[in-house]
Amino acid sequence: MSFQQRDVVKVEAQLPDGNSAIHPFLIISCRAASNMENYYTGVMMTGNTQEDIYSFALENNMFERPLEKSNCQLRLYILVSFNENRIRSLLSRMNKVPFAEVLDRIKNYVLLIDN
Amino acid sequence: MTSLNYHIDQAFPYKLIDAKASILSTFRSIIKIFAVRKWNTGIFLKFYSLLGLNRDLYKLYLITSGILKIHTDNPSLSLEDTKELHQQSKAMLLRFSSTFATLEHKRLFRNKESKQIAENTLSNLYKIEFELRKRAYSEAPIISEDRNLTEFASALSLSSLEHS
Repeated sequence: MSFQQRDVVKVEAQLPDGNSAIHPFLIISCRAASNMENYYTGVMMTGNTQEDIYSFALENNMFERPLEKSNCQLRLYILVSFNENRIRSLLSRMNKVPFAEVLDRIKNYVLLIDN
Repeated sequence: MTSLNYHIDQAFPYKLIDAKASILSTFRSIIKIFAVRKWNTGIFLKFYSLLGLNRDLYKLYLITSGILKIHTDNPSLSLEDTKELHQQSKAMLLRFSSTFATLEHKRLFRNKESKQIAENTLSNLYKIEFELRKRAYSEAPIISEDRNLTEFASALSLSSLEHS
């Protein structure tokens, strides 16, 4: 496994029109789960500054290295699993305290049981 | 505005903590000149204690714990007030994140107590921001630009299956 939990990676996908596109993700799956089949689960990042309940604003001081773009956000409800061979590069690594908060919000507000 | 809308930001001793972090960092550099490591550690710890950095951090922790409890227990604010408070909470979070980074950069988290209190305070600030966010954006419209993200997410899931 080349990547680990808290890594911000650029992931490539083939779009339906035949072109490919690259997008950054924050890996949230733990090592044991990612090891199963070289599959990672990530939460999607966006440069769109519009906010909603599921936005998590990102600052450079949350990461070991600054991100390429400022004013990024996580969209906590867009969770995707992807194969390791889809990852094109490692951008940075999130610090532990903000990452714990991201996971907490996903567990308590995205993955909760409906009434 | 309700009584919940106090300008808590002014009560935060951020600058004081930043200044103490700089003093401690400088002091450690100076005493490194002396060769006796055991003495240096003792002198540094004594100075650390005298300067009261942990006391200031703990004060911040108590303040943020109080604010968090208020906002968790009293959800009866108007939408307008909530939005304003949410902006304040984001500013508080941003400011303390910067202080947190300063403490970490100056290697003052070698003191486990400082690290623990600072982490708990930062965690409180995230939770305050989220409590207010939930209410401020409870009726916000869906962000239409996010359609690109969901389309990409779908394509990625499919690509991953094809290459697995």
